[in-house]
Amino acid sequence: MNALLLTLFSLILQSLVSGLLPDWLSPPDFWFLLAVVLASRQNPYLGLATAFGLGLLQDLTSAGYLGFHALGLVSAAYVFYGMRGLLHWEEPVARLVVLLLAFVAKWGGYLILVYWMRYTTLPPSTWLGVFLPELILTMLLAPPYLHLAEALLGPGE
Amino acid sequence: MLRLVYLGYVLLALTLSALTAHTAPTLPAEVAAYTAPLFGIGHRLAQNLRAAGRSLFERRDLRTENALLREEVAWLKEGNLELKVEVERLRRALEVRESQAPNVVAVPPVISEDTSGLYRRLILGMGEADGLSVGMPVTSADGLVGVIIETTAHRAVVRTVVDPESRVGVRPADAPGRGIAYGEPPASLRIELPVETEIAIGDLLVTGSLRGLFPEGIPVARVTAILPRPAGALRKVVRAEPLVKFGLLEEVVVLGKL
Repeated sequence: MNALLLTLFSLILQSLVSGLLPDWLSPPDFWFLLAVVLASRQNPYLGLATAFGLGLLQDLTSAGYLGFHALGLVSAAYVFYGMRGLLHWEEPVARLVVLLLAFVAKWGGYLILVYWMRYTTLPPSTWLGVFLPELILTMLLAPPYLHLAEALLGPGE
Repeated sequence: MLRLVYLGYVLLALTLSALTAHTAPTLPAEVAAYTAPLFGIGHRLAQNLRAAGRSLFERRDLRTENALLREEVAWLKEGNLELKVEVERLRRALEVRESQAPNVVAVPPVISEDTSGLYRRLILGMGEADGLSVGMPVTSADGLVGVIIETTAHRAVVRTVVDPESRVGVRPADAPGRGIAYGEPPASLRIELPVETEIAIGDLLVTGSLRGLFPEGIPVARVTAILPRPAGALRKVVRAEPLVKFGLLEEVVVLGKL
């Protein structure tokens, strides 16, 4: 129940923050943070499935290509599980490193699909213009978001 | 084992994207139109917060502003007579314009926007029941907004000009040379023009494709940078900032299809 509440809250927060920021600044990715939070509380198989499902939902609500965000989020969750075995997720600095690597993996997933679909619609300048602000804002907002998630769902594994 | 499961998801995503891009390209846009009310809550809240912030900021210097306004009113009264003549002239011009330009179909509210950082799409609070259909140009008082790419009975999805899939035929407002403006999110356009086109930073770009989706002459963007041209390049590439602030749009004007 609390996970559902967090999901709804995250999606509304996503549109709220997108609306508050100026047009030239890409919003932080609460979908990504939500996928990581849910992954941190599930076994890897269920976590990957949840991330993929969330990504599909994001594809559908973004009026974009089906599979695009799904591949991004499932890649992030996969790297999250890989890194969680090497670093201590409970420590704040390690947590940021894991998040950073998972975020890069998310964009790696995007790139795989962009290559697969032979997009000409996402030139490198687009990636830089969106990637960097999104990365910085997501990392900045990650600590309070994770704190809130812990308050709602309890500490992760 | 987990790696195999992950690879399975990668394959599933690639298959889904390839299949749906050809067999059901409008499915995500249709779902987005239906789920818009949920995301509209945050969007509307953000718009209200921005408006509240603006109004707080603007109220700070009311007394000074009042004095200035009184002076302005006096000045405006003087100019009123002159304006009446001008209005009459413009009325005649408008009659001509209305008989030649496409009709306004509707003025729908913007109720939400997409939640991806990569796309730039808006959800309108009107749809097929109000006469909207796919391919209709969408504008605002500031300039071109985009084009409708999907509709349901009471919603429509607009692909804005800065969306990465957007292509708009443009030309400089004061010089010859037609080119294509490619959307570059979050808020930029990359325009390819013939090398002979004379263009400078600050120049206005307007719609200008022959037999295109958009009526001629709608303001689109202002040039912010002219990119260096590699030797032998066949196109001149410039970057431009759209005139419309998409985050501030509360309503838009939908024009009839050309």
